[in-house]
Amino acid sequence: MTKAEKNRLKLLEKVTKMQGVYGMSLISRILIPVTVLLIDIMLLFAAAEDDELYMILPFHIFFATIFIGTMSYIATSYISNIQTLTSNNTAAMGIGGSMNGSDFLSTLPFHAKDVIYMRVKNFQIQLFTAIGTTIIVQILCMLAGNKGYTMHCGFGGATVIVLVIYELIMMSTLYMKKPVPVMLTTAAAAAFPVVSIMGMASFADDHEKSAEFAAAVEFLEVFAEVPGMIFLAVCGVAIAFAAKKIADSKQNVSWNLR
Amino acid sequence: MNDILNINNLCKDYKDFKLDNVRFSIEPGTVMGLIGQNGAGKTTIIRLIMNMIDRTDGKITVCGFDNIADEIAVKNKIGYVSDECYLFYNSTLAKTAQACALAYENWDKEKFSKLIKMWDLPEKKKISAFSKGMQTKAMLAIALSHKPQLLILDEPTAGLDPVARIEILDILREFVADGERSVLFSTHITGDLDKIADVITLIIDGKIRESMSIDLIEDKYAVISGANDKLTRDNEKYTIGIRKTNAGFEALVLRENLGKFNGVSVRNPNVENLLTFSIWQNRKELAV
Repeated sequence: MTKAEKNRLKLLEKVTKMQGVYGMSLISRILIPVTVLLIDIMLLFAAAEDDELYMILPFHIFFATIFIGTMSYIATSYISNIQTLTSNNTAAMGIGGSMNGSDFLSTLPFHAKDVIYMRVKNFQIQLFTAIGTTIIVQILCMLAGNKGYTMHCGFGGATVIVLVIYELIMMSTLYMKKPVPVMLTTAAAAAFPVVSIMGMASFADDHEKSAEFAAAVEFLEVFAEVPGMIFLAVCGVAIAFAAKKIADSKQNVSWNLR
Repeated sequence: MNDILNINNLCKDYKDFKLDNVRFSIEPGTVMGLIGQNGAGKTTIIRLIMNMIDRTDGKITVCGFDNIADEIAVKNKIGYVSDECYLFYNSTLAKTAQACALAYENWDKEKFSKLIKMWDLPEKKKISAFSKGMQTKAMLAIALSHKPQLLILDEPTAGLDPVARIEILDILREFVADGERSVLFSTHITGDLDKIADVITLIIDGKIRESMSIDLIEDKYAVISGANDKLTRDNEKYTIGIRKTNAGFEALVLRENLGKFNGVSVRNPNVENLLTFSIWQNRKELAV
């Protein structure tokens, strides 16, 4: 990269920041999953102290679903961007799914490839912030020392694994310039609830059980068996497809304009 | 004299649509109206000129510069206004202008201030709070303030009140008055083109059907109308789009074929006639 190109890239970054892209993305894309995750973990903390984990199980599933859904949305809208980029378009991909503003960058005197680079970078910042936050929360859980919290390693581990898989898929797509097979994304999304609930079930198995807790464990263990895992995988696929549909419906409007 | 815009054999393939060997050019000092139905390919052509989408084949030059190889030079020479506001909704006009001042080589701060003052555009208000008309004016103010050679407008007057529309048309006239700059103007409001366009390019289903001086439309075509019994199987094939009702018919024909029709009224066509009759003809051909 020549000095002039580097300067141009710095200028583009400045313009991008000036337009408040980072702020908008952080609020809409990171704050929601992180807040949901934190509420979920606070609930788990409170419940684990009284060995009443089963009491908050519906809430846990609810919050985890929002978390997975949001992360899937981020990842799939990102993948949609790159798919469109590689199959049809150059610069016409959104920043965080937003076409407003992303077109603005494309109209300015910058190379399309640099605009794409900046958008990918923006998305990576969001994803890595989400991954980082999750890791920190999980470490805090483990440091808390209560056996009840360690089970959340499964949850956090799964999040990290899934996000890393997403990231790898996206990056390889970008460099290979081939659209990502949807099934790869959906498989990654499906892995998340499976690993999470398996982690929860394995913790519950070791724990001193009350009758109610034993019932909850029995329920959870179903998901660690093959049929339960298939069920979860189907749910994961459905979530990923729904997220992709939302992402597509929002973005194709602009992409398909003639 | 060198063309401001030159498009040669431009192709773009989508799954359900194809832009097929598009070619046209715009001379300096010219306003070209790009007309066609929804989905005909107008916005695709504009987005290809802006290198916002990849082309399948072909070549686009602006003031002699290739729009991909010399992308930065080309974008410095183009002022772009789209049908949907492309500015950051969460940003203000002041911040947007700061970004433009950094990015464009010839940003004219004074001109921008003058334009936004003339149009009463608030600098500190978020663009999301602007009305449709204000957003269009904001895009136009930005497009005009970096001294472009080519102004590209994609449906700019749709949704604007009559006063704003007339003001924008006046600005376009002024823009090309020195004979060195040009405008590519895509619109459905063909009345606007009757007022300011020098050249009309008609696109139907991704193919250029006509690209000609607006003055020549009347020389080449005529609109005929009459009772339905004046239309026979033999002469109907000479029509270029026809509209039949119980009261009679109306059709576009080449002037050279007027002799095939007897007892019909003849009048000069306008841009809207050229557009609508060509679309009806295309539908008829597709049906066959």
